[in-house]
Amino acid sequence: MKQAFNIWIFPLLTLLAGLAIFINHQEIITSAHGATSTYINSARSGNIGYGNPQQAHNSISFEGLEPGDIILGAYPDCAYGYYSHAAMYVGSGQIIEGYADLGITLQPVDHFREYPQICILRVEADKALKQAAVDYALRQLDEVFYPVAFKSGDRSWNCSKIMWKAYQTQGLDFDTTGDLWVPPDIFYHSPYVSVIREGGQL
Amino acid sequence: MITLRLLWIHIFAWGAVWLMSYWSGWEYLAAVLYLLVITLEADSLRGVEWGKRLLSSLAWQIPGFSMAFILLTGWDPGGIYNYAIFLLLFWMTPILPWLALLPPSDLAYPSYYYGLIGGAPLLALWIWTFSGKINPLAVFKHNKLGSAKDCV
Repeated sequence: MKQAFNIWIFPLLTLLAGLAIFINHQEIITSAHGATSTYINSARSGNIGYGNPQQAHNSISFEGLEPGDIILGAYPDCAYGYYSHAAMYVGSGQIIEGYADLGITLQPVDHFREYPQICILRVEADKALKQAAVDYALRQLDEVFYPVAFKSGDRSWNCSKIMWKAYQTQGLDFDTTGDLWVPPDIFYHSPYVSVIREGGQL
Repeated sequence: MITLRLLWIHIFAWGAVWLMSYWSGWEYLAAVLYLLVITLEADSLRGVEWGKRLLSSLAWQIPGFSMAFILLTGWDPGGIYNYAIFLLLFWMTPILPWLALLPPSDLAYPSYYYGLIGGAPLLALWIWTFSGKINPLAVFKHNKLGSAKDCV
């Protein structure tokens, strides 16, 4: 009896939790713009990760960035959208972003030059709101990065979720897909931002 | 056989802990259950000879040891190095809720990274400890019996 419990408790929990989530979010499988359907379609073409890192050196200027600006970087063949990475400018040449080994971390903005394509977005909101979003993100420094962290919860993050949550807690929700995850592309397609620079090593 | 059982439990605990994190906080229920279940499994190893016990304690965590080794040495078999940290994160999902509680670190990496690297040896040590002669579970059971006797 004890042995059967040990063996079957986690498959049962996995099945029940998976079913409960699926029943609540059936539409994400067929949704054209959601992270889940994008990933499923990419996986069918053989792309399953964050793309292929390249030794690029894009020439976009980082002059004039303001705290709260969002920077997106694209590696070719990213499975979850065009852009594979996202970060938020916090001032003084620094960005806050999420990495698997570093967790939520502060890094120099210049490292975004390694992406073949990048995009800089300005959030259309007042400075106080953007600063509050930056402050929220800074409070999560050193926290756990998890690639498939659900939107709900605030103990594990990925690069997009930290910024989505930072603005969402200020009343600005970038995600209109209702998906379980937030990919970097949601910022690019949001009506709350304007593209201030885009391109790279063409 | 015990190695396969631990491997099975670990793999499905990975799914359960991850999926239950959808409801914030519930992943801790699955993480507690995971520690309880592997402790019960370790208890069933008691009385087994020393060598087999050591092998069982280590073998089920071979994926964790391998990924940690790749990260520490920079070894890149088949271009896996770039993905090793992701694989280790997934592999350690059953204990990730505990790693998320670690205090901030002043070192080069956040505390949870060191927890990921040390996760496999710690889980092996857990099985080794709870399958040994000096078994904290056995002490606990003994104390319970002892106190019941005292009441009588």
